[in-house]
Amino acid sequence: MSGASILLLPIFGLLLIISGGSGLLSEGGLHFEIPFALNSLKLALLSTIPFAIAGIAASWAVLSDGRAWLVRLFIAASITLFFIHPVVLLGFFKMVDGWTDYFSALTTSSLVYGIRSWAVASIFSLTLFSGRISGFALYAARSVVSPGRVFVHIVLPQLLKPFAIISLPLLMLNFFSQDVPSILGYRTYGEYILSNIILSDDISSALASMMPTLAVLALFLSVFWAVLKNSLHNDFHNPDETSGFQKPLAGGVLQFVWTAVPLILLSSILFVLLKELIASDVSLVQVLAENGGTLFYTTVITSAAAAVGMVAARVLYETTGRSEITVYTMLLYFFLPNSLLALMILEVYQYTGFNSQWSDTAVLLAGYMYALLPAAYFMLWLEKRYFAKDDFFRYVRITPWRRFLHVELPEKGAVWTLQFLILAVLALYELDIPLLLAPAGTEVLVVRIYNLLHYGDTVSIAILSMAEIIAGLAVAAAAVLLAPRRAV
Amino acid sequence: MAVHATLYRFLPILFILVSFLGCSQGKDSDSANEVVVYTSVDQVYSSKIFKMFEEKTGIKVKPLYDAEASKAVGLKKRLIAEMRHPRADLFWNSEPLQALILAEKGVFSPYRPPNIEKLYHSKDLYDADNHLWFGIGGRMRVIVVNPQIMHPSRYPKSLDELWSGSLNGGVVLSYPFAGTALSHFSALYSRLGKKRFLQLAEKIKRDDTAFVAGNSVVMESVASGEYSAGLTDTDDVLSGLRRKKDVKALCYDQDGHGNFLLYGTVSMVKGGPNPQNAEKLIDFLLSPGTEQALAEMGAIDTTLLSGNRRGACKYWTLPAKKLLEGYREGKDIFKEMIE
Repeated sequence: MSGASILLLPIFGLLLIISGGSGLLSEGGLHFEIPFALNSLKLALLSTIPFAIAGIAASWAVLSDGRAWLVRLFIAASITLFFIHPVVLLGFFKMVDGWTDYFSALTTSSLVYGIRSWAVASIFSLTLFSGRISGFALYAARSVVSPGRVFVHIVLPQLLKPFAIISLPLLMLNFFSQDVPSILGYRTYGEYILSNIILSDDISSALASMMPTLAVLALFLSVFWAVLKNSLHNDFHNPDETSGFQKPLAGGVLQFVWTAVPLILLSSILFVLLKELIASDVSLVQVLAENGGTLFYTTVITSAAAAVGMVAARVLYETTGRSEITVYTMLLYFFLPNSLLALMILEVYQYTGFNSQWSDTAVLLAGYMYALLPAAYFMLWLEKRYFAKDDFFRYVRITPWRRFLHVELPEKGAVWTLQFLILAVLALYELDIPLLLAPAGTEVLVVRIYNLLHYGDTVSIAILSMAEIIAGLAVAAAAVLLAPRRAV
Repeated sequence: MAVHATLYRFLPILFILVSFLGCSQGKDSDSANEVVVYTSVDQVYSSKIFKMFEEKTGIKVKPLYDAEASKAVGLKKRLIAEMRHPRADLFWNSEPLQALILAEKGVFSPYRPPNIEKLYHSKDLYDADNHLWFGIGGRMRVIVVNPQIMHPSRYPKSLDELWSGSLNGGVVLSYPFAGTALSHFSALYSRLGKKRFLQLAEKIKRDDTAFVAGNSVVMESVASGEYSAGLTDTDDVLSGLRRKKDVKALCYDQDGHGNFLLYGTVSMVKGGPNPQNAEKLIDFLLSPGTEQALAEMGAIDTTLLSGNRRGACKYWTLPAKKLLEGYREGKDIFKEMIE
């Protein structure tokens, strides 16, 4: 099974779902809304294209640019884009005069989610170059053949499968996303699900009516998983397998694309935000003081959520994680709307009868943990496959702490930081979990931003977005600095 | 060496504990002089009212805000899910329908504010029988246009004209299955009956009406010229005008029933941890002074309490029972309108 055909599998799966005639939450009979699903499919495909472009371009740039510090800067810029909330990005596009006259709701939504895909591709390029692909081997190869041939015959075949694997959750994430298209009036399947949840007063009937859809998704994922496992097995036994690509790619163009796009975009966004700030007479200090509590609480809770998600995934993996049931359960969690997940946790919490700020915070963290667990588990699964096994240390007298400090941290530090960043950003964007589980008297940034958007306080949004970008830059910089030298 | 190993093993746990300490925000809710409020009223307005209450009484308000993006149902679902062990004392909602549904489900506890009969000019604006909810602060559903683009002679004068197909730039409204649009369509269903409502729904579909997430987006879309006209709430138009957007709110159906009037509701949650403080906050919210403060902020444009100030348009509203009937019977049609 070639990597290219795996790349097509998610599309096949979505077609399977559509033809499967599953239903969602309809009280008057279960039926699948094909027009909504097709709209979401178009959006998912278009917004996942930048993932493929950025993945190839980033890998090419990493290979061919000798100025490591510059490459690190570009990687940090790309990763930082991930930190900007899609709704804030939409605001940026709408600020461009005449944008809505020329670009449809589908194009604009695809661009916004495409930026997210771009950032994810950059993150995973760095991850892969930190782990699986050996910089020394590439250096040796480049001394005898052209960089283009190295890329096509050595790098690309190794990239194709991991990227195909990552494209699945990304495609699904884009398929179910509804915040940006719903603002633009583009009707999606996510919106349809939401309408059913809203109009269903009974939570248990809403959950029950989700089951046909989850069953179809589970079937599709079972097929995908089986094919993937088989493919990876072959991959590990045939390391010399090459891709079908024979011609060197236009390296200069790729490098330009990869370096220019995130930098131009990020600097444009910062420019627009600064312009908004300068034009207003609002004090930066005042806005930060007014929103300081929310910023602090959000930073603490999203960091804690990311940490809990990472730890939980590791514990699960080490104890039961290798069983297929765990994998399928993770995949089902991935597709369960977070509003329903939060309500399920709330139901359990109600039975315990606990009632304190401490237990409320613990329940909120539990909500985040379950919402983040599939992503955390998935990233761990990749990490375990693309890093060398550590059996060696069983035979060497070395303390766990020294092993952590001198072996694991230099090797995996960047990857762990990026995993932490992805999970923290997913928690940062999450709206349903804090709405349904956050303790009273607290407010997270996403709720504040939505409220400010409603009120039209663009200055405060600009300041809060800049705070997000700075935080993103800090984490991204930490990740690229921790990355082993051979990675970039 | 063993110390290092133990440290390494317990590092994640230590991190979580530190995170928990960071997240802890105070004492248990039932042991403090506080009141817990779930509210879908915009944070920019409600937070100022809470501050006024805190200054007056010394009781700390612990709010939990909704977001327009959640279509104002997050808190409703949460209140239902928390019925066994309620965490909230009070629910202050921005529209009436969700409160009516929650009252029917037994989420609220009766409370009779002093002089309640004298407070309202109409019994449709509060639960006169069971005292489970009370209306506060009126807003109207209005047609919004961009006066820079549309000439006054072309302003639609009724909902029929809005969907007559004569507006070249199209019409936009927020999803009819959530928020104030849901209340409005439920009321229209109840007043028009199934047959006439289906005709209206057909017109809306035929006119290729755009649906967007939220009334503020409706206002923004009309201000930017994406659509000729929209149906939204007065507070959203006021918010646009404050930011110098090119928008104008129109009264409609003034020869008939007029604009539909929406109002917020306040209710005491059954079994909430601080019932006495909840009563004090209800009394504070149901005071003409508080309503007037909301009007001055631009959160509302029609006051319901004594000293009733009529809004700029002629308006109508429905008794709760009728509104609920409209919702129950019409909700499948509302959902189909966007398909």
